[in-house]
Amino acid sequence: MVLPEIDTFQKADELWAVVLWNDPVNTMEYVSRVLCKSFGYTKAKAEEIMLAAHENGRATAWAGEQAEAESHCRALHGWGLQATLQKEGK
Amino acid sequence: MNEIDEMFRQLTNPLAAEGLGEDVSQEEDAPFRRSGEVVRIQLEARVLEILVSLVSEYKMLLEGHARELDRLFPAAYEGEESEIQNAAWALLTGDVLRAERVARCSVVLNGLGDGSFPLEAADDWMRVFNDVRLIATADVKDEADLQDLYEGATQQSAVFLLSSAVLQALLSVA
Repeated sequence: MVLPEIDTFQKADELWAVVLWNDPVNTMEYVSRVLCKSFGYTKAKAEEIMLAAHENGRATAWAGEQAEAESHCRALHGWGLQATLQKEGK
Repeated sequence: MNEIDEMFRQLTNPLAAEGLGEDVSQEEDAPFRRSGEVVRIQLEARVLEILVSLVSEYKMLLEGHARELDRLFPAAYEGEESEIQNAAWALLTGDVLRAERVARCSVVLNGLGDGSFPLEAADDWMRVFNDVRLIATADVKDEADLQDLYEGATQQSAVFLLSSAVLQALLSVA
């Protein structure tokens, strides 16, 4: 599973992951493009996350505060991607 | 399907010749040809008509809150308490996402009417035609189902092929 860089000052029990799910319809190129635009990732990083989702069924696209995670999740939904929110850590 | 096949070919022929590093959007016969900060639409009238019809119908479905669009408004939370969380999620995000999609449809319809659109609107175009693809594939569960659409002769297949071809052409522009 790919874990993007996170703010080291976040407490572990406040982390929320934006989980990207694989789906058979959205093309790889489109998904990579969306990840670049939504998160500001490099093309290489976006492709890494996209391929992880493609191969494993899901991948963590981003992790951080809940409010920001919700904003990212909403954005991915706006692009037509399948994404959910998952609390990480205890 | 012959007419659809022809439209598909018109949209994808320049892409078929695309080599590594080539900028297809600068090709003379590119369906969407970039010229500075403007993208010119170079499609036959019949193709334009069908695209206008597709996007108009999609816009109507959005405004009518059609159930066929449920896939475009997925839930965000899973597990325990997700029902309450997702009800709140739908309340907070549903209308905003819908309004944004309707606005993008208007952008695309205006561009189809004008025969061009600003490069900065390319994302809007991609999102609209990707949404149309998603609606056409509402029943698709896996790669096999998708392959059936690529090879099928139904209206659903036609919509899927056309919207896919447009999306691919747009990805070469932006």
